[in-house]
Order: sequence, then C-alpha cells, then structure tokens
Amino acid sequence: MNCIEFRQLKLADPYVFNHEASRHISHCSTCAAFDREIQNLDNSLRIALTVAVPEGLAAKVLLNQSFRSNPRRPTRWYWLSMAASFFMAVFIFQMMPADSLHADIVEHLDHEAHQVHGKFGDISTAEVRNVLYAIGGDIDNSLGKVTYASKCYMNEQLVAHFVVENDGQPYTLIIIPRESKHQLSFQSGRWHGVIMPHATGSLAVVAGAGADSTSDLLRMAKHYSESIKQRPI
Amino acid sequence: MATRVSKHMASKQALYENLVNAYSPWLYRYAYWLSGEKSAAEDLVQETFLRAWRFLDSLKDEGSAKSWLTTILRRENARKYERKQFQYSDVDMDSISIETVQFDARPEVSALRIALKNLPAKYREPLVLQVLEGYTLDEIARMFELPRNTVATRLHRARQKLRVVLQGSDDDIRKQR
Repeated sequence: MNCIEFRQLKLADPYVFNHEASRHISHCSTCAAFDREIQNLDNSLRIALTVAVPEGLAAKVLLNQSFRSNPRRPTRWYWLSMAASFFMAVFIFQMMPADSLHADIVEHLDHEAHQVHGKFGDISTAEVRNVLYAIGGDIDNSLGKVTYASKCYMNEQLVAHFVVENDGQPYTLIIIPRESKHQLSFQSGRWHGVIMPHATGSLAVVAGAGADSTSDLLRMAKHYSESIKQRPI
Repeated sequence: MATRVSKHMASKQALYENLVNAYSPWLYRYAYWLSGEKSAAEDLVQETFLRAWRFLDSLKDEGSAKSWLTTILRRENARKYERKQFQYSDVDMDSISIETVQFDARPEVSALRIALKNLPAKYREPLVLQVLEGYTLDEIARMFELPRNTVATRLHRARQKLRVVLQGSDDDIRKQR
C-alpha cells in the first residue's frame, strides 16, 4: 500500500481495520500523522453531529400514536355515523373499480418493509408453494426463476410477494386475496404494472417504469395466472 | 378470539414503545441532518413512527429495526421535504451558527456544523450514517442502492471538504488568540 492508497482508504472509511494500512503507518510518519488528523476530524464530527434531541420526543411520539389508534370513547351518535359511513363505503366500493389496489401495491413496493423478512436468492418451488399456501394459493407449474419470496402484509392483508425473472429481467409478482373486477394497468412514479382478476383474488405484475409495454406485462400476468391456482379447501 | 387480538395488540404496543424509546434520538438526529430544521426533523420522526406502527406486523426481525426505521425516514423525507429543501446558501451564516449551537459551542465545532450543513446532501447523508451510527460502507451502499465505490468516493470527498474548513477555522482561532 502506498501513501495515496492509504489516504484514500482513511478518508472513505477510517474505522476499517486493514493489515496493509497498519504496516504502512508503522514506517511512514507522514501517513501516521494523517491518520491521527482523520481520527481527530471524526471525533470533532461526532460531537458536531450530536445535536440535542427535543425533550420528551419519545413521549410525544407515543402520545401521537395513541391518539391515532385510540380515538375518544365512542358515543351513540358515533356508532350511527360509523354505520352510515360503512354503508356509504360499501356502496362506493361496489360502484368503483378495484383500482385502489394499485395504490396499495405502489405503497408496498416503495415502503420496502417486506425486504426485511423476505428470502433472497434462488427460491425453490417448495418455498414458492409455502408462500402461496399462506394466501390460499398453490402452483400447477413452476414460476420459472424466482429470486425473492415473501409473505407480506399489504394494507393489513396477507399477500404473496415474489420477484421473478423473465428474459433476464426482474419483475414483481404479487398475489392478493382481494377480488378485482377488472383488468387494469397503472403507472406511478418508478413503477409500471398490471392487475388482473385471478382465482385467488387478484394478480399483479410490476416492472420498473418505462421498461415494458402494458401488453407485455399483461402477457406475463396471464402466463403466471395460469401457473398459480386456488388451493382446494 | 378477543383475548388473542388483545394479546397481539399488547405485544405490538410493547414492541412499538421499545422502538420509539430506543431509536427516536438517533432518528431525530438523522432527520435533523437530512432536513436541516428542528421542526421538520421532529415532524419526520413523528411520520416515520406512525408509518412504522401501520407496518409493524411486517417487521419479523427486531435486529433489523434500526435499518428499517432509517429507510422509512429517508423515504418520508424524500416524499415530503425534498422539494422544499432549505436553501442554505441563501441564509446568513451567523444566524445558522446561533441556531445550531447545541451541546458543544466551541468555535471549531460550530464551524464544522456550518460546514456540514453546507455539504451537498449526497456527501452529508452517508457521513452521518457512518460517523454517528457506525454503519459500514456496505450497509450504506445497500441502503442507498448505490455501488460501494460510489459511497466510498462520497465519504472521501466529504472528509476532504471538511478538512479544508477545519484547517481554515484553526487558522481563524489562532488569529483571534
């Protein structure tokens, strides 16, 4: 390791232990001084970055959450208005195509919480089947190459979430046990996808925006919808 | 059935409280250096935890909670505040130094805080994660969805820029003395 390499290493990651770097400073006093300077810089940085946290922040967060999840004790009028809202919501829901599903899918993909507990790598058919079982599905044929599989909650509903490969490109495949009445496509931020009705509820195929045409995505959705079936009860 | 639901809610609440108590200071500091404002930072922390509550059932591994919360906060910041980022270059430097004097008011620390605020976000963000919370280059690269070398270059440049500022501030302090 020469002096330039040593300095590049220390400026990018002063905390990493490197045998070659240790050997280098044992015989280069200039770089040993540089090492001390960077350590001092980082000590000062740590002090500068440690800004004061507002007093009672954790309590405020917990209070805010409790207001949102435990509203005031409901009165008779509250229940009446809830019932009216419920019937109104049912009415609106029936009049509406199931396109709020696409918003849930986009939020789910953007959120990335699923990545915390999903499985990456070459996913076996048994693992794919295991995920599908959780939502009442099964497979007839293999889904091909699957690189990610997870049982996720999407808007408090359990869904099966896969990343499949098609012509070397990754696609998100989500099976949702929520009925969609119509086939639809959506484009939102960095995603482009299609949703189609399926025996288990709905099936969505999502790609990066601009990567594929809607008809290509529909073809893929149809292909996967033939491979996935509802598990007999 | 009702008992099972209430047990689930109680354990969810307990986990949530643990997360809030353990990570709200870190998230606030990170939010502060992302947004540049105390009130925006506090709002970001509130929004992050509200979203975390909604999705808490999907967090299976508590060991990943900090990264999970940090990612939620980054997303919230990108969604809500990116368009109205504070323009530091338009702000009088003296007013910044008065506002940010907290904990340690030594001149070199104040100079560093101003320099940190003036650093482009792409340099400041990985530096905060590395210095304050000890995230490794690989972890930061994964979080930012960037190649490891790009993150290393950004950290390298961030420290270079701050060294220059710190050397300047040392000279000023020596002159004042």
